[in-house]
Amino acid sequence: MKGIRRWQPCVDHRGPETEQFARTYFADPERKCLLIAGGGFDPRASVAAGLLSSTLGERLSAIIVREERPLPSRRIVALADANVRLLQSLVTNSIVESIQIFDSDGAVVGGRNAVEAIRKNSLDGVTDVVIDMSALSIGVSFPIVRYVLEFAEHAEARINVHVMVLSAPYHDEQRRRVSNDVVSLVHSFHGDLKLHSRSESAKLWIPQLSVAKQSALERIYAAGSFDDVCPILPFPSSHARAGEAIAEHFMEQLDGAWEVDARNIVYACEDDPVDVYRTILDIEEQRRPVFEGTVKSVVVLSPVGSKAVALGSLMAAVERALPVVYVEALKYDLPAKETPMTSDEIMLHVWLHGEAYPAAEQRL
Amino acid sequence: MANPFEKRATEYLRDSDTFLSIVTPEPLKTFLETPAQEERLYDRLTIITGTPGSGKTTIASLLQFHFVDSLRRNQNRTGYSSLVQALTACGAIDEDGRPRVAGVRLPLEAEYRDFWQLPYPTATRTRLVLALLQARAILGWFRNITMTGQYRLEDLRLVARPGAQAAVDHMGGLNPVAARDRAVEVERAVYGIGAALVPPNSEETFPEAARAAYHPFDVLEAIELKDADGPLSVQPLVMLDDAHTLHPNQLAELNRNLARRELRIARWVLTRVDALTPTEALLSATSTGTASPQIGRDVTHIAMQKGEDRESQRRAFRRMARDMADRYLRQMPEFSRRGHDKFSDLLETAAEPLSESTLHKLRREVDSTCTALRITATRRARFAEDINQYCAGTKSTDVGEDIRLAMLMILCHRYAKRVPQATLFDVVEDADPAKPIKADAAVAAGARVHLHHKFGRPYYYGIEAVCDAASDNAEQFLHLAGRLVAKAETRIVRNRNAVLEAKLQHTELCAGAEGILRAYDYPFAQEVEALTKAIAKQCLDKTLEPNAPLDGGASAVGILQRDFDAIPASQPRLASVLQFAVGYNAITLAQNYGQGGKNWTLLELGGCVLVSNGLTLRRGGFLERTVPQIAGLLPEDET
Repeated sequence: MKGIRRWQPCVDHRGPETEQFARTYFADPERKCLLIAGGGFDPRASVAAGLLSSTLGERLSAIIVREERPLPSRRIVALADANVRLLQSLVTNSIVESIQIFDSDGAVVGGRNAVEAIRKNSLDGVTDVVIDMSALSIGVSFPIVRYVLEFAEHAEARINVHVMVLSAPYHDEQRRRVSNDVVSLVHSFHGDLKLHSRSESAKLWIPQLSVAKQSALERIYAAGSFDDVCPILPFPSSHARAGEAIAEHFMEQLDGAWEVDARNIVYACEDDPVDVYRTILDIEEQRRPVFEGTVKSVVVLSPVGSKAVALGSLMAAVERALPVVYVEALKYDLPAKETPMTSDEIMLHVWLHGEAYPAAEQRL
Repeated sequence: MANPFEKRATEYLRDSDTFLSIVTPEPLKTFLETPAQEERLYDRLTIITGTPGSGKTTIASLLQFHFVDSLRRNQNRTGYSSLVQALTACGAIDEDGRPRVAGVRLPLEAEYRDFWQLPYPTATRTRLVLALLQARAILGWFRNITMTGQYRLEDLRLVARPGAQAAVDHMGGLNPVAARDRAVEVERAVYGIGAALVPPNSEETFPEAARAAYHPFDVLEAIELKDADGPLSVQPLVMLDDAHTLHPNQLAELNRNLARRELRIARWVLTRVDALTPTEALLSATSTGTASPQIGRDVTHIAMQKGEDRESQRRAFRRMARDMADRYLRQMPEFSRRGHDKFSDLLETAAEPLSESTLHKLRREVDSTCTALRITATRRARFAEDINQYCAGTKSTDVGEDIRLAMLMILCHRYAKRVPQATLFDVVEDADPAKPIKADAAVAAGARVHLHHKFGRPYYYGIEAVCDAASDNAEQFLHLAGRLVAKAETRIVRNRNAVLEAKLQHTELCAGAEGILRAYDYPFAQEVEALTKAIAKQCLDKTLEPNAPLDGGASAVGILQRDFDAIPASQPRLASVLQFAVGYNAITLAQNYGQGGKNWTLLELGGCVLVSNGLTLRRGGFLERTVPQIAGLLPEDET
């Protein structure tokens, strides 16, 4: 039986609807919006800023989060610099927060640093906070969204929290990276996973399969002691065979080490975060009562693929305090020629907190 | 379980029966028996270092109390007795088959490292980590002991060292139920601080359980159990696995704390080689650097890769790998039904000679070489006789005509290099060489590698090739062996002979090695790939010189030891690349290798790199290089 869900119904928009929403909603002169966006090499970095600045003008301010990784290539730095300049030209009232993703010993500290960077900037006087996850890694964007949500929930004045993502699954899948070699929990997304009392719990792992992150996923599995695996494959997807192609790459894991029953494969729409959110909650709710009286169930997420699926996983993780396990990228490799953004990419918007959910605000 | 080889890491296997049926006792014997006999394994801090997949976690898992207890209760089951013997040899079980230690393995995951980021003084951060570790160790010991259902928590008796009453009170007393409840409380409180989105502002705002003193390691001396054979007293053993996750200073603090002599519990810290600094990881002195207290007196250090006697280490690994593969194979009913219980029996060891047409081509090539090099018929006949004599006396069965012809080619080229060069006006007929030329196993090794590259003759086959290709790494071995087992399984299913011929073994090993290299994804992986490819290319060029100057060929480059020792200071980028190359088995270091009156460090290519480039798996053949030459092989620094 389905319980009450925080984001069901959910206010979300896709593609032209997002643009229309932004143009009408933010046109209200009372709205003062803070954009938190990534200032990295990702070509998607400035799309949301462009959309918002055209409507909000001077009422838009921004925190540009620049993720610093060790020994970046000159090309990556140049692209990131160009994106930051573009963001600054779009949002004149902006500051750049550089955060180190790794400490000197290689430990992942990006999430904690990101929260500190946002914390030191006041959110007072802001009516809306938009977090653009398009050019932020999950290790950084997840804690930021959680922090802003918690801040907004406890703020005296109403603050609306939105997340935007330029969904480009093909782009995400093409992105090659060098993984750090340590499996981490995303900062503040620990759940109770590591408590001793949970060591006997029935652990279900829901990884989002991605060819680019195959070794990272193998590493997570090796470290996780999972009892069951329900991998997420994209379907429907813009490339009809995208799911099959990914499954083919993971055949050894699915058939071998992970022992995945074909019935356990989860299909989720590649650019619909709310579909992913509902699917994860459905699984969690069906499983919980089975183990309730005994060892209890833990659902662990690894949304390491496309950004839209990551957003859906984030919503589920926030709502049910689910642990999120990942392997941070040590560095990215750009293809010889970066694929330009095309019209296939869809801007997604999910309204997470605020006046769209008056009942939830009342509960708080 | 479908194909257990595909599981590879033993972390995947939590069920006692499955784990014990496939785990091999060899690492225990190889690494723990000697320190156990010298009684320096359980009375002081023990630090164990090794590369990923070298078996650290397997050792730690096997020493956990519930596995030890299951084993001693089922000693008669197939394969268990050897494990019991190994555990006895390393002091975990006494001569009467009763456990002496109660082990618990605590993986030090990234959450412990998180505490180092908290905005508190070092002492507070260390105290929090120690409290979390101690709480989890207490819970882990209780869980391990009660897991098999043989002992009840209420029946345990905690024994404290004399004079530690205050600390006893802090851990909730010696009543096991109260001690467990206190540990649960401390764990939850400290965990909450580390996992918080925004940490508490100061210690004053910590939950009470995280503020109060908690030092069960300082207190505990033994745990007494009510066993069917009478009271049983076990020494608590905590094994902190993957300690490389901690910040170096955090690890140093931890080690310093665990090295205190007043502690009565046994404590091991297991860490990866690449977690050390480049200096520590690369230099020959056995060191754990700042992370370690004084070695020798306070600490027992066990290095799983840096053995002095590398040949015996390789032999030990081969033994372990065989045993492990046989145990895995026994889990597969398809094989046991057909009576295949030995992995090595699935691998044909007979060489696959060249076809008649290729052989004909080789004969003609030998003839033209002799003509070109002006080898007289008498000289050629003498070489052929030497070769026949060697072939008749050798134990190797791989001495068919193709090998003999290839050996003859090598001898002819060696002869041509060792006689004075003739000029147009001064022809020296059949001169004797400056140094005698003889046909032996080394020339035969050169012949085999030449035939492989010229005619595609299978080169890697047999159990030893699989073991050596794995670079003494259990996980890589299982990966490579798993491919071969899968092929054999398919044949069985198709009612065909399961034994794999040399050619198929060679093809599968090459594909497996390339697959492993392709999947490498770790810091500096691209630089490691570029470096190893460049070294392999140079080794291959040398190997394929017609006179086979390094017999079976080169598999390494050598740098003068004193120059190598300066790498961390003079070439920091190269040092970091080498650190990870060593950590991930792409390169193995052999230090203080004496040759030609000089002291060398050999950078030996890892087994998978050798296989994917068709180089010899034998050690010893190396090219002399300088540090700048090696650094010059790295790709351009893009930063």
